[in-house]
Amino acid sequence: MTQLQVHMQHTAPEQRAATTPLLDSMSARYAMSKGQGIFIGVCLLVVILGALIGVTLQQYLQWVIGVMCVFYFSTLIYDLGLVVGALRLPKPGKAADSDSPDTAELPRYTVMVALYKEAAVIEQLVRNLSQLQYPVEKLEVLLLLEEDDEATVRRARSLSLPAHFRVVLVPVSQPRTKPKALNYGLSMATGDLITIYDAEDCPEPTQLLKAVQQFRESAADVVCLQAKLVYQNTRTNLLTRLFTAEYAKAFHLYTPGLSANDLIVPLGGTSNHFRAQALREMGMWDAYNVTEDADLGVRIARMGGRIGILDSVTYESATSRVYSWVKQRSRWIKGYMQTYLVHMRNPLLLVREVGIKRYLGLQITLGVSPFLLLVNPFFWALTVVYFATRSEAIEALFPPVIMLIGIVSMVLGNLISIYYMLVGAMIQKEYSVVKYMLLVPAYWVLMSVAAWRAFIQLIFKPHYWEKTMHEHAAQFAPAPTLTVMPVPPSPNG
Amino acid sequence: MQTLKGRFGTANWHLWLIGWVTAVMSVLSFIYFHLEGTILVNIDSISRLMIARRVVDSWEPSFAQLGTVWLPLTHILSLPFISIDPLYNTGLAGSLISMAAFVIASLYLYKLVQKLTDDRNAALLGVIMFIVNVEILYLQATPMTELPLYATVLASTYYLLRFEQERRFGWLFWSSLSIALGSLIRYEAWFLLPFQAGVIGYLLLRQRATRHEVEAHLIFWGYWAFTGIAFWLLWNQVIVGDFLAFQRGEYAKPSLWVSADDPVIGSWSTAFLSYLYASLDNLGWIFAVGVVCLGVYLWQTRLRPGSLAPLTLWIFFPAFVAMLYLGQRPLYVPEFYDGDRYNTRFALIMLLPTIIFIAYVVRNRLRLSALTAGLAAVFMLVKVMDVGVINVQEVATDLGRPEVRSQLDAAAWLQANYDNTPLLLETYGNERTLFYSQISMRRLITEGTYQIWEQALEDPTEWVDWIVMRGGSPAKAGWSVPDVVWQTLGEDPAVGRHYELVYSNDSYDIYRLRQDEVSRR
Repeated sequence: MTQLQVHMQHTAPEQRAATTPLLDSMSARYAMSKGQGIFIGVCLLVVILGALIGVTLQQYLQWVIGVMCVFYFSTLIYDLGLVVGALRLPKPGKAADSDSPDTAELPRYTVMVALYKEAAVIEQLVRNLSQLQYPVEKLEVLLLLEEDDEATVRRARSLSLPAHFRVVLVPVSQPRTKPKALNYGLSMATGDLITIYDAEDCPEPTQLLKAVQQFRESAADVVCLQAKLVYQNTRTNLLTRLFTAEYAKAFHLYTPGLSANDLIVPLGGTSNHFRAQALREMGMWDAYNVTEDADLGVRIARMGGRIGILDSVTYESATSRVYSWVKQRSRWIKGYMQTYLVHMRNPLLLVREVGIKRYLGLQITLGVSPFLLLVNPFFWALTVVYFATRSEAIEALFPPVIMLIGIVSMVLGNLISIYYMLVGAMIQKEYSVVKYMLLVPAYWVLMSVAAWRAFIQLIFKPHYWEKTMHEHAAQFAPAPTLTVMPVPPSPNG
Repeated sequence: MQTLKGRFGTANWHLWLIGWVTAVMSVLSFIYFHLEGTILVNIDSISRLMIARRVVDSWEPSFAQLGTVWLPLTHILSLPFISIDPLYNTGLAGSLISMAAFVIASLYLYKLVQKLTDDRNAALLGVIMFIVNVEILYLQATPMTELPLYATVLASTYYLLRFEQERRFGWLFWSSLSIALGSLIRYEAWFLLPFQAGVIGYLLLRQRATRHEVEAHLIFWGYWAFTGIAFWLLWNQVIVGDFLAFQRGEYAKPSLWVSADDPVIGSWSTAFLSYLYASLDNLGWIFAVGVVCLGVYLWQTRLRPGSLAPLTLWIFFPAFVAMLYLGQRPLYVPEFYDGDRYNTRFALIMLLPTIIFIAYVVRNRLRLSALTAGLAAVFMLVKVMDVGVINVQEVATDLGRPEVRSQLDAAAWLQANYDNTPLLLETYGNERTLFYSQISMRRLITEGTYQIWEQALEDPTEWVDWIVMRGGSPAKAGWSVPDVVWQTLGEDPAVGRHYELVYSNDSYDIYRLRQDEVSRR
């Protein structure tokens, strides 16, 4: 029995149904545990003691840079493993359209959408969700509106909603987060299967049927299916082009790669399909975590569950303004940091629950990756200064082995990272964006800006939810057609 | 065949079989040429070994020792073996790379022809024509870089063909990666890049792809394909501060190998005929047959998608002719150089398209395939009995020259007397002397010793106990240009004051620091 299950058993049923069902020990309500605080304090003490007994600044920097280079190299290898894993996956089977389950045997399905200040897009959202192919008597759509969001509530009430749509008003309480609203909605949901969408989403009409089919074909421990997210407003500007390719990489290479390698999958925030009972048993969403989806992905793994990849698409609308993008990305990165800290409160327990491979994978996905976004600017600056000055002081910071690892990681790592985005764009047949992938380094700069914003917020405003303003909702359009993993599995094919 | 299939236990049994057969042939060939003493007869083999060795064994061991003249990949690949003295001294440290490449090239040739013709017998014919060629067997036993180039070129062409046939862009990744590796082995691979790009563009346009689609595929392919070249330009910049040092550096200028009055320079006809004769020297009559088969291939395929990739291999012919015309590469054939041969191996690469187009023409005709294979084998036998291995013959005569004799004598003397104290020697032009002396390069100051080289030439007593110089006096015949050490110190009276002449032959003077100077220092 996992620590989590123990916590859930000790939680009263009425409390479980509330908006914040998790105990603090498994929630991001507090950024760090006492143990983590003590650990950091001890590390600082060791550093100070080292300085007192004569360890020089140069030696410290050599160690730090050595560890960073190992981090970079590990990430390079890890990403390579993910991509190879994704490309080795068998082709998806037949589309659900031609192989739909018998409607009489379909389970009840609940679709939940948490909406806050989304008056502008709610009408399109309703249209998009109305296109979902599922018997309406077995489908309920819950529009979760904040009680004090008068504009959205008014707009929702002015629409003539189909009978299977319900407007649910979430009472005003802290924290003001999407997962809190989802937990509230879940307490009213009647579906055997649950899925969530975002306000600007446009799911493929057959997505629910495909999910039912795939759940039926999957083992019982597959408690969640993640559909692929695709941005529809690709050509708006350079930012949306880069964002599109990044998503293509994430949902065609990384997420399938994580799943194929049986690693922990941090869920994307929308188009996750759950077995309702399992979702309740695992504690629902952490209302204090600003990437409740990633946290839930880890918790599923800790409870012995697995996440499958659903061969279906949800179209979304990418933010096209740099400031909005930075805000959204900083929330994601802050959430990853929160999630990492939550699940690393007891590392030994985590290893026991998920195994060493998944544990190490988690270190890179949620620990090392956000951390490297923070340190990247320093290494860029160091590289520029070195080539400008050929400074011996900088050379001295890189012992030969570290220099070799660093150079390989820098050159190959950067080349391969860009290439993954190229591959993502090619798989998605977004040919017009391919040339823009050569500008990805500028995107990395933005990511580091967002990472620092996230880090500062983690300290001062850990639960603050950066609201992403959606400019418009996506509409279903079959183009661009997705290809089925056209990269051959091996050179021997 | 069923038995074989069962034995190898795989559907790819024919690939396993080719792999094993070529591996055995590779080893036997190495043993034969080793016993003949011809593995290192070409001075380039020695130079390549020494470049790799310097990375781990030199005054300043580092990757910078890879230098900027010769492309680095084969040197890097030989690093795991290069420190092991028996492997270094026999040349096996470098040969292992060629030998592995021979097996890989054979496999890709088989797969390429098989994909092109859909006929395993034709593919087998291709491999037979490749592995019975004695020039191939010789070069694969040496540390030369031809076979690694062929392996990468064939791999790249094979994947490009797969892309043509299936339109799955993933094949472009493997094609571009292969040619990127090739472009870090020999400069010839660079010629292939624009033509491979042309194939991709032509194919997509012919299939009515959009502009974005063509552009995306070219970027996707070019991203890795040009990485090798980009890396090399950057490397040159980082190491010596010149992106084009490999072309115009002190030890890279074509004028070092090609004299201004060379008959091919500025004459298209002589350049064309030189390369043609060199091709015939390496391939024999099958080259002529290959040209005819190229015509048949063009007629039958009419540049259809699915047939273009192998055609790119023919680009090496005009590319080399152009290089000869421009004086960028030295290639001597007896017809224009008073019976001399030099670098005729440059034309051996024409064996690849020749084989492919012959195999295409005889496809699905088992008897004709068998006859062709038999004739190719018989021809090779006759050729070996008649003139031997051309690429051995052209350099074997070097060994009889007095200046080479002098090198070997000087090497033997150094091996017996050198005491592992600092030594000054220019590597360029003295490769045999250094290699066969088997002395450690850890105490050696050469033109590759960053910054110290100039200082040691300026004031050798500060740096070295030994000075080895070549080709000073008019009496020392055979070398058109004395080495840099002699040019700098050969007539410097200070050398005589501080150093004692301890060895001298027709080409070399070896000085050792006087005992009183040693004690003073």
